[in-house]
Amino acid sequence: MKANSVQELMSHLAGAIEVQEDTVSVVDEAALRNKMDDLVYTAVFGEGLTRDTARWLIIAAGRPGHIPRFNP
Amino acid sequence: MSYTWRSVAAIFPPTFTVPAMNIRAMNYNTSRAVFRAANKTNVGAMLFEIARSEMGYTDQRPVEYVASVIAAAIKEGYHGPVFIQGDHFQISAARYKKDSTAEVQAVKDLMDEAVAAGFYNIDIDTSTLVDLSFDTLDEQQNTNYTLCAELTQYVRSIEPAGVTISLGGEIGEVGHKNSTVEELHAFMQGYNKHLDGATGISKISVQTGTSHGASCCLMEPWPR
Repeated sequence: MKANSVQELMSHLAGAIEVQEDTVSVVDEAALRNKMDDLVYTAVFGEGLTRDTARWLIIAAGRPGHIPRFNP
Repeated sequence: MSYTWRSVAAIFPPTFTVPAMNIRAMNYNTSRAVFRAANKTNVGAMLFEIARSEMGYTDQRPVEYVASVIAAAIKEGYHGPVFIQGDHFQISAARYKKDSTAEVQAVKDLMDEAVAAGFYNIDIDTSTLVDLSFDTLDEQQNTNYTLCAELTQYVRSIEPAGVTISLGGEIGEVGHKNSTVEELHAFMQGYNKHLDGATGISKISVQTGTSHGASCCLMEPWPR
């Protein structure tokens, strides 16, 4: 499912990740995995701010301290 | 990966290789398969990469590429490091001939976009400007090493604090004449002279007789 707004996107991710200002926290890794297909669909095929937010959420969730250790 | 390449270079004979995969289509699905295999076989180092040209014809900008790969890692429960590389950040010889300033700036603009997205490995490819019509190896490699040094300095100026982006260079254009040790020396000697103290490349690609090159790691320090 592609989210059509940031509000819809965040609502879909409730319980999986939390965003406080510019910090993303993974609160339930299994839940995030379950929601990932929709999140990445929005990140690739979404539009404007909703797409950009989806991309940022994924990349931020992959930073050290979250799930995979992203680089360097 | 910069540290990894330097560590590999210190081991002789080399005991492992690092695959670099250009994911051009169905990135999320393809990357998921890679992470599944990595989990199964306990793989430690692998590169996801995409070239400047591939970004164009697959319509994948750097931030979309990174998001798709990371999403795949999360989906597959992969907890290891994820390395993403800009492959062939290449100067087009034809466009360079038409407007050299604009073409170099286009590659710098791409570097800005890629580094911001999280490409912390970049292969600079100015080997398209090697001119074999000159008599000496230094003359043949001159534009290659001069521009490679300029782009190296540019990356050093934009890399995030605390991050040393792993850079690569190229001495022989893909599909052309096979590279020689003497060409490598000519490139590195000229390159080092133009670095002005910046941290240089940690690997270099050579033309080996296949339709594509292969990378080798540089021993440090390279003789100046």
